[in-house]
Amino acid sequence: MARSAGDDRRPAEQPDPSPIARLTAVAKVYPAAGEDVRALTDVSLAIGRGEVVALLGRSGSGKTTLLNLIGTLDRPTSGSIEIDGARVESLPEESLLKLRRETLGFVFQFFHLFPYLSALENAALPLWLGGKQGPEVNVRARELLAQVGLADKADRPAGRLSGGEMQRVAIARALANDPKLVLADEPTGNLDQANAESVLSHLASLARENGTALVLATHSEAAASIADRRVHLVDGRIAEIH
Amino acid sequence: MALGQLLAALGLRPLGRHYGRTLLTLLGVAAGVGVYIGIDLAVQASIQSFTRTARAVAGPAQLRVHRLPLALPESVLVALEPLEGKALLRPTLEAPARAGGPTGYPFTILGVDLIGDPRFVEAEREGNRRSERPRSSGLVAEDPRANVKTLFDRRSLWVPLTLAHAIGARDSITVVVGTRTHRFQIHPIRVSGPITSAAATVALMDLAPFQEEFGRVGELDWIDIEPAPGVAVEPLREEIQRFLEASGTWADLKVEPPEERSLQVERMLGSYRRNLRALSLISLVVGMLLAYNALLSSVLQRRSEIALLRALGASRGLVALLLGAEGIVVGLLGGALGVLLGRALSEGALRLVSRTVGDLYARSAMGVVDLNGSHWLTGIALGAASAAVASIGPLREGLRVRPLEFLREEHPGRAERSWSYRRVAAVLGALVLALYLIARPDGMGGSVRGYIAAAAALLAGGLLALPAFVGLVRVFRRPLEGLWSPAGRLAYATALAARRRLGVSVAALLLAFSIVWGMASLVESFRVTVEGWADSTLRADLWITPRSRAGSPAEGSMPPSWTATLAQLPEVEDVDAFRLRELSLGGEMIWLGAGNSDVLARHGYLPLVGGGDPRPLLARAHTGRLALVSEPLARRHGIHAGSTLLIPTPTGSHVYQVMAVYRDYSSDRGYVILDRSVYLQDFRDSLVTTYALYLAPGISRERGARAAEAALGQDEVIRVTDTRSIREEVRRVMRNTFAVTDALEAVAAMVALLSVLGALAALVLERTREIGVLRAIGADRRQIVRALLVEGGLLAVTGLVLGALTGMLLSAVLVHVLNRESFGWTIELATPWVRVLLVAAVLFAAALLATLPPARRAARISPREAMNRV
Repeated sequence: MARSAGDDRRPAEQPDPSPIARLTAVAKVYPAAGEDVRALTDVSLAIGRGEVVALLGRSGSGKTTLLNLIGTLDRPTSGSIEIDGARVESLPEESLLKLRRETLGFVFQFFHLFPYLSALENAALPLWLGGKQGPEVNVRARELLAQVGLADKADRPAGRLSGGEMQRVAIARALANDPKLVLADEPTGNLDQANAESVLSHLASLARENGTALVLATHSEAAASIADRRVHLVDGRIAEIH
Repeated sequence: MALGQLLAALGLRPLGRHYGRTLLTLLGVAAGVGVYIGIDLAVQASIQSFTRTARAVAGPAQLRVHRLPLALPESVLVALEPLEGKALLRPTLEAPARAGGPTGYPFTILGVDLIGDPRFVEAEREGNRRSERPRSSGLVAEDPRANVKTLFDRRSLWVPLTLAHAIGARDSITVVVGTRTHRFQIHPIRVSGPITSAAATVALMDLAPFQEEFGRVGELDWIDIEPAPGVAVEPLREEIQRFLEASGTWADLKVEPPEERSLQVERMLGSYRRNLRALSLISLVVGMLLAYNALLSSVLQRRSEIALLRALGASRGLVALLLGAEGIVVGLLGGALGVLLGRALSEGALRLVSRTVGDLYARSAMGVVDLNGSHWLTGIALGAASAAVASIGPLREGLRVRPLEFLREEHPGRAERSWSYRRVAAVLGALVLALYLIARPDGMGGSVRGYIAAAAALLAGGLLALPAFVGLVRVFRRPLEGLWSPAGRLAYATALAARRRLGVSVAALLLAFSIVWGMASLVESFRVTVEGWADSTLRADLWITPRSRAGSPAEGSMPPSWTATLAQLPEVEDVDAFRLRELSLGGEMIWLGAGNSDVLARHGYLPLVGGGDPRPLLARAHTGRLALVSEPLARRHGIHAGSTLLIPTPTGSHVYQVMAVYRDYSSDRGYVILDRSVYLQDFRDSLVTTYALYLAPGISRERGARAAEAALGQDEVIRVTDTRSIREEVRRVMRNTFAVTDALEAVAAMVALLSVLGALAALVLERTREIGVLRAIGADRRQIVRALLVEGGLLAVTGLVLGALTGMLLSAVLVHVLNRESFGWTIELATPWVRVLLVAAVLFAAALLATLPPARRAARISPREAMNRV
């Protein structure tokens, strides 16, 4: 059922043919008082380097669970997940942290910014967490904010930005560490149409410019239109890939 | 560096963002530290005033030869003359005095060798160099040696400028020493060096005129010894000791550092100091609970931030550091603020403490509060330590946050069962330990047994706070839902959801109220016991004491000839001439009393430990060297009927046999009581400290007092009081003694109320979205306020009920264990119901008031803004 990503969109200077993420027969079951909830069943999927993949499905179809598993925020009940060549289900917590710091980036529906930090500080946060310091941190964060069109609002507290601006700061933060894979969970779910389009175009163009793979969980066909491939989830199973 | 930026951005910035909470936490820590430092400063200042004065008066002297409280014959000075090449000898006498009248400013007149003493020469040189003669006051600094005639005049008093200013003296002054009034010409002097710190409490006379004026010719109180340059102190001390022992006559003289006697006073005050310290630690614990609540609230509020950081790759160590930074900064700042607060509190505390020290232990000059580096260190360390301890729970809570949690919108906190086997075991263990120690107050552990019992009682209560709160909320579910639905229903649900944090506030309130209960019961128990004791023992109709007596009960004395004068009065049936003085026994200052035991046997009563009639014992007290010993002294030294005491007297050391141990509540130093005839024979001292008069039948106290005053003609210097006044005095001393504890209880209660305010404010903040939703779906402001008030009320009721139960246990510990081991008294447990119920009502009202600000804030939450939060 799973299919490797096509190499046609991979930048020519990246000869590495291995996928950035590979899921094999992944299942996730949440224990519950009555009957266990099967959130994902037998999911196998490979995401190529630089590829943009949209996960589509209704609420409760397993999109977010799948994204959390790829993002190492959760562990599968069975099956295996490989991120950048490393089997994550058996990795210790510290290695997962390193992986999240260096390889992955996240964009969330509710932005999850630190409202009392400035836009610049929010964008610089992954760099600080990675132990980077000095003026180049601010330079990088400003550069990213400029790329998302927020150069003039870099010093404004995040809590005083509009919804669209907050999501653009979140995109800058997700890309700060030059991740190989960005995971975006309903990044436009909390935005009006104009802002949603702006955020999506920033996300897709930045991912492509940086050769970063992007996995986008959404229930919006419009949002999914920026993807190279669309993976449809129904009741925790991959129903269709096209 | 990146870590620094992270710390600044995520560790410290939230402090400023939630400044209300930060301020509350700071206040909690600062109040705890402040009370501790304030009390410590006050007690230290009060106690050290003795040592400071002693050291100041001694100047460069390193040793003191004395037999205090007994006098030395002046011939000792002659005997020590062979030492003169090796040391300077400074004979000294002292007299406690009051300026202007019997109740005037207290100071000490020292009789010293002004000509031979280089201290005052130096002092004058210093004064001349500075040319600091005050022009406005008209005082002129004079060299004490300048005019030999003035120097040897028994009417000349050399007064340091500071003291002269304090007593407002210019040319001459009336001074009362004992019952006698003396008139002196004032000669202001300037002093410098160590004696400066005693300049407000010491005046000087030359030795010879002092002896003449105060009837002490041929006597000295002590001889200070200043080793000559190059002479080592210890060998010199040993040489003097050997010399005195070899003399045979002076073998009982002591050779000690000059401050040794003051150190004895310090040691004597050890229990008092320890107890006050322990009590002030309660405020620290209550403050810690407040800080715990505020830090936990901070962590719970930042759960999604923590989860996000973890998702972005922050390690647990980094999260701990970021969260810990808040505690560390609050601890350090709170500690520093606490030191300043303590300094401010110490002046008031010093007045309370000095009064108690003066009443109960020794004549005390008001000390000087001296805030030094060690207090800063202690305060900041205490602040940091209490914040660190308070941070442990919140930190663990923060470290449990998993990266995924930020995706969830609820802030659940950790679900915690209100009962667990561990909690049950801990409560039972603490309870059993406290009860065991109450039942068996004596035994291993000595002085810490009481503290362990008190800690166990408080721990048992504290651990019950959460389950009791949950239990009460469940019990009140139906009435709440019935009476105040939907506010009651809402309160029920939210109180259970936030039980953990509210449980901590319950514990804070419980702790404060149990302390109030325990201390109030201790005071009431003292009152009931002491008043009962006073009623049974203070049976004389009138008491005659020197009017100048203000502090020590032994201060001032009266001539023995008044016994006959008073006995001849038809209004008087019997006279008991009682002598009281300090006695050094086994390195400890105790009281030695001597009275007419036959008079006491006829009229008085002495409750014996173990019961029994004291009269047969009193009737034979004059037949030999027999003594009665008070309970605290007996308990401290394991003395019982049949024990023997070796007591130094001017006629040599004698062995006295203990006839019985009696109950006494007037001093924890303890008494040895002899018959007056035995005392006169051994101590060669006929002075009288108090005359107790038993009036003839049918004679009123007023008539008896008038007759006594007329017969003695000394109404300006003596005070004739009746037993009612003595009992009032006992109550006054008790009020003074416990005034400082009242203040400490009040602080603990205030901090506990702050904790209630903080907990509810934090809950409102966390529930902003929830309350917004409620408002959106139709809850009105009154319902929101009422729900919060119901929660506050439930919290207060649980805290107060449990506090009362814990307080009962604590009062038993204070009365039966801590009091017994600290002071040696047996007292009966009594509870001042009206007072504790009044306090409970006030605390309940205050807790509801503390609920109002957060409730009103909750009511103002806008549904639109609440749901648009980032």
